[in-house]
Amino acid sequence: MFYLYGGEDGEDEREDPGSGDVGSIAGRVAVVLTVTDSSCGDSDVVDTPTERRVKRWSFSLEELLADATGRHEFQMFLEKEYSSENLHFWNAVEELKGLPHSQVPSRVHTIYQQYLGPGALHEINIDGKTMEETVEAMKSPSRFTFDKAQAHIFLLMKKDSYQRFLRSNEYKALLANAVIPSTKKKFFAFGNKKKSPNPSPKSKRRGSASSMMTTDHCLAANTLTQHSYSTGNLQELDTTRSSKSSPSECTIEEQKTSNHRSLSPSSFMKKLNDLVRSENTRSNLEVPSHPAQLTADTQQSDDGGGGSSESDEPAGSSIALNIAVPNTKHNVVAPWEEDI
Amino acid sequence: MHKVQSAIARSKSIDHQLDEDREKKQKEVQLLVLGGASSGKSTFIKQLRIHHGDGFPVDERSKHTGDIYENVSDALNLVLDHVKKFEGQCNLKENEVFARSFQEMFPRWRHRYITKVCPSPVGAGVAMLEAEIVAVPCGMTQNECGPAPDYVRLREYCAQILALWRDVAVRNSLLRKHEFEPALVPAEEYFLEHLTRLLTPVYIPTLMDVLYIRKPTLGVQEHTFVSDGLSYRVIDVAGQMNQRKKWIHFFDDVTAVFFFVSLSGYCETLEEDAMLNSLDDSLASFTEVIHNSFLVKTDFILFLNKRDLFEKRIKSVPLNACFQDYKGNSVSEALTFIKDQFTRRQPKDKTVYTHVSCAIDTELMRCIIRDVMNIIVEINLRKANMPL
Repeated sequence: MFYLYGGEDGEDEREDPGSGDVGSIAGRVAVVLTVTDSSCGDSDVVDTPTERRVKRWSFSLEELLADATGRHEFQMFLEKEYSSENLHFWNAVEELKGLPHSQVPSRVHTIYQQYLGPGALHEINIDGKTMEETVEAMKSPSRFTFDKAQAHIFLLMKKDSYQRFLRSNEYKALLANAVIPSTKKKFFAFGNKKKSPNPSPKSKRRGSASSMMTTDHCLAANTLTQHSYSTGNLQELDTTRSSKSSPSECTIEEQKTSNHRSLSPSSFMKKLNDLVRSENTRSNLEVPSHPAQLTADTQQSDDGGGGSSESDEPAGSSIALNIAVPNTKHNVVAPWEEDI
Repeated sequence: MHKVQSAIARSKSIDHQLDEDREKKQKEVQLLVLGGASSGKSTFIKQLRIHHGDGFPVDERSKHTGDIYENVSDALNLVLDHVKKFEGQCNLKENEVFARSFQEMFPRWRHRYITKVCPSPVGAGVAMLEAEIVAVPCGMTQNECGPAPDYVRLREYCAQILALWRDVAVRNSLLRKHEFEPALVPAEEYFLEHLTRLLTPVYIPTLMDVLYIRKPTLGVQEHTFVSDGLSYRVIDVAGQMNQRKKWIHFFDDVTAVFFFVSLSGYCETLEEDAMLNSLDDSLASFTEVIHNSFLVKTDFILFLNKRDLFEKRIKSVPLNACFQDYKGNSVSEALTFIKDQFTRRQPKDKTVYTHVSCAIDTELMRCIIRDVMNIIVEINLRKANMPL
């Protein structure tokens, strides 16, 4: 058994999931890990994050805000407490930092009017001194105009809202509903692999657009039909999915995730992006938000029966696993181990 | 056929739910806690928890250690800043070295700490590519972008902190603490007084420590507790001026408003606006809230809080620094005068129950909370009998 990653400190594994070019093997392994761990990049909002991901949010507010899903959940929580304007402001300032230089002054004024100015609609809670300094900095608008106010708001959230978020029922529910991708279960169910009705991923691996829909995705797609009736078997979906991913697929997947963010997108990718977008706005009932699953559903429908029948099996074994090895769920097993 | 049946069943269950809700509502009292920033609203909620909740068991109290150490670290930073200002440096060299590293490790949270720039969904990479952001403003080097300090680690430096605390230069600066700018807040003074106890490795916060914590509330929090068959929903808000527009969301369905005023605010200014006197601002916002059309039928309970501080402070700063027409000179006269300022501003047909309180005094608060509960029960009975 080879544990690639066993620690709890999520710090070092965030290798900027958005970076397109993964040259070195080390970099590749790092991204493979990120992909295996969180099912897709941190910059996507998913409906049911993995347990590791939810746990990582409790390390620090920085961790929570670095994750789009975490940010989204925190936002929902703040809305209930009537203090979401703080996070909105924080986001707006982050966005400002990434704007082209030409747009900065006008955006600075928009942010000021929205969050700081007299009678602002979403006035944030900053003290007089910070306000004074911000007004002073407004005289020469730059990306850093709001840094002090942002830091102030960040600390207010950290001291108060974030602490409560971690103790809230919302967070507990997230943790309870989080999926546990236990790759280890393959030890007990390795026989399944042979029965897999899916075409070997190796036959159409690299480069082609359809490689996006290799096993893990079509499995997700196949089980999707079940999920429209019930969300009860979430866990088995994810275990099935992650158990199926081989290293090459992960790498491809990771390249695709980065592709449809920054690199030259083909028309297929555009379509995918649209799907992802529509996926994100869906209700919570629709569980897996993997980019490719909808397309995969239509294209690979011929092996639908096989996929769903297989998904029944790991449920039992994953329970057995949880009882047998309760503490190992954090260890991500090297995906190529599955060939044992 | 099946559809009709299920529809009927659903309708019944909704009716049932409505009945239940109505019944619950009659037994539920909604209390709104309002008042300016750091007037003791959240502390009052803690008192409710002590007297009618779980009373902060040990494991609940230990969760507050981080908050306490954060207050301690803020206070130490402020003291060290003034040591630099008054004395130049610490008396002993090793203390001076530690003071420097302490201020780096645990910076005063306000203004100093810069957030780590997270990869934002909208083109964080663009910023990196653009050559023009070479000039990073001072104090924002990459090194400072690390995660915020974990204040519980303060404990690891117990020996050094206590040595520093005994340093002659620190002692001398503390003698001039009334000259501090900004001044030490009462919570910080309290925690510094108990520094030795706080830094022991087995330290578990006492109830008093928990009550003293200064931590600004963000947004709006709901707390529920049950007492004598009535369930109370207490709503705690942030008191800063820019947060008061959120109060109005809760004016509906309120049984009573608890309005908190910091008595010691007569010689303080607001943290959000240094031009405004805190007590003046309290008077203004009290007037505004009590005349609000949503709260015409709502009873008000006024808490003139921080009595202990007021009594201490009135000896050195006379009240007519704030109110020129005040002529008295005893503490009780001053109290009556302030009380009068508030009652003068209330509508004629309204009863306002006034309590002079001290939210950190658990025994005093026990009596006050008992009185207030009686009033609430009375109000609730009156409301139940009142035709709608």
